[in-house]
Amino acid sequence: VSGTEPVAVQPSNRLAWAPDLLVRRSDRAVLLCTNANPEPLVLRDSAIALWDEFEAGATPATVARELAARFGVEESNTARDIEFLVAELCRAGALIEIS
Amino acid sequence: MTSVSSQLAAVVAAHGLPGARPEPLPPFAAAAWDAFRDDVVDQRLAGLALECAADGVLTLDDAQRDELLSLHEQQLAVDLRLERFLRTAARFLEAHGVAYRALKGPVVSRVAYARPELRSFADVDILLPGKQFDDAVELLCRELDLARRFEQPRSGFDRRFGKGVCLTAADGLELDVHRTLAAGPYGATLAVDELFAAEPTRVRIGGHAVYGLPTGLAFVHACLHAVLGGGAPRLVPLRDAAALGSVGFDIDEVRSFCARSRVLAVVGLALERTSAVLAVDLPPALLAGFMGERPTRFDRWALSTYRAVGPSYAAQAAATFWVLPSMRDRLAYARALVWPDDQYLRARDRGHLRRLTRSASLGLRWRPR
Repeated sequence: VSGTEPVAVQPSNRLAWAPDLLVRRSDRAVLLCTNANPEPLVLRDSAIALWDEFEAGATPATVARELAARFGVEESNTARDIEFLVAELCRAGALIEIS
Repeated sequence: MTSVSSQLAAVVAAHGLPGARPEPLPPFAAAAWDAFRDDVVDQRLAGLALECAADGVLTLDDAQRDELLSLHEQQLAVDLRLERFLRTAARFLEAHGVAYRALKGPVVSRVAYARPELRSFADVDILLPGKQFDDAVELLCRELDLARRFEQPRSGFDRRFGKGVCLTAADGLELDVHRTLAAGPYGATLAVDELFAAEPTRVRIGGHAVYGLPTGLAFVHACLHAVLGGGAPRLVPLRDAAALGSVGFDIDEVRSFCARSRVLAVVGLALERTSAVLAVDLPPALLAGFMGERPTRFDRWALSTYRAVGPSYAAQAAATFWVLPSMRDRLAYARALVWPDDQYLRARDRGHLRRLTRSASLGLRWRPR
C-alpha cells in the first residue's frame, strides 16, 4: 500500500467494503482497485481472511475475535496485527465506516 | 505459436462451454510448457487455463501453476485499472448527456462468463453515436487528459466514416472509442443507429451501472471481431461468440439486424470458425439462424479486403468508398482521403500528388466486381 498517513480506526467502528471498489480474486490473492491508489492493492494469506470478514460489515474488534478463534491465537495479538492493515485499507478507500 | 500449443490454447479457450472436451491432457515437457504459457498469456487465457487445471483438464506441476498464477494476477491488475478507467469515462459521458455503449471484455465477462476473472482485456472500448462523436471525443481528451493516437484525415471524418479513434491516458491505458463495430466496408454497411435503439445491457462495474450492447448485438460484435479483426487469429472473440450465443437472445430480431447491416455471412463464418477451432456445441437455434448462409457476391468482394496478409487497411479504405450510401458521402469520403489535412499527410505520404495517384489506383483496384 503506497501513500501517506494511515487513518486512525477505532476497534469499535463498524467497517465494510466500499461500494465503488473494483475487485478480482485469484486462488491465492484478492486484488482491490480504489481511486486513491494508482496500482491495485494485493492481499494474500491471512489478509484475505481478514478482508472477507468485512463483507457484510464488522468492527475490527469483532474481526480480531473471529480470526483469533479460527487460527487459535491470542486475541490481543491478532488485534495488534490487524490494526495497521485495517487502517491502510481505510486510507486507500477499500474499507469505509458504516453506521 | 506452434500447432500443438495452439491446439492446447483452443482447448483452454473452449473450457466451460457446452460440449467442450473434458478429457485430461498429459503433463507438459519443459519446452512445450514454455510455448503453451506464452500462448495463453498472449491470448489472455491465463484465467481459463487455471480453471482447466482446477478441473483436471490440464496437469500442471507446482512451479508451472505458480508461474501461471503470477502471470494471471499481473493481468488481473491491468483489468482492474482498465475497468476503473472505463467507469470514469462512463460517468463522465453520462454527466454530459452522451449516449454510449461499453463493448467487449468488461461487459461480456459479466454477461457470458462464470466470473470476470476468466475474461481479461488489453484496453477498454466504447461505442458512441456518430452525431455526438466529435464533441464527445474532444470532451474526453480535454477533461480526462487523453490524447488521440492518430489524427483524422479531415475534420468530421471520424464522425461520418471512421471506425473510431484510440485515446491514450498518461499512464498508458487505452480507450478505443468506436463509431461502428468494424473497419472497412462492413463497418460502413452496419446499421449503427440501431445499436443505440435497442435496450442496453447494464453491468455493475465498481458500483456503477455501465451501459453495454444488448446480448444479441454483443454476439454480432464478437462475430465481426472474430472474422474481420485483422492480424493473427485470436481465440477470445471466438469464445465470446460461443458464450454470448449460449446466453440466448431473440435470434430472429438479431438476424434481421444482420440482414439490414449486410453482415449475415460474416456471422455465419464466425460460427463456422468457432465450431471448427473450439470444437464446442453451439445452440441449434443459433446454427439454424446464422449458418449455411451463402456469401453473396458483395460478401466475397468485401471479405477479400480483410485478409490477414496483403494490403488490408488500404483495401478496406478503398472498398468503403463503394458501399457508402450516397454520392455526397462518397465525395466527402474521397476528398478527405485523397486530399487530407497537411498535418495528416505529413505523417503518412510525401505530398498531395503522391496521395492522389495512390488513392486513385487503390479505388480502381478494389471496386466491386
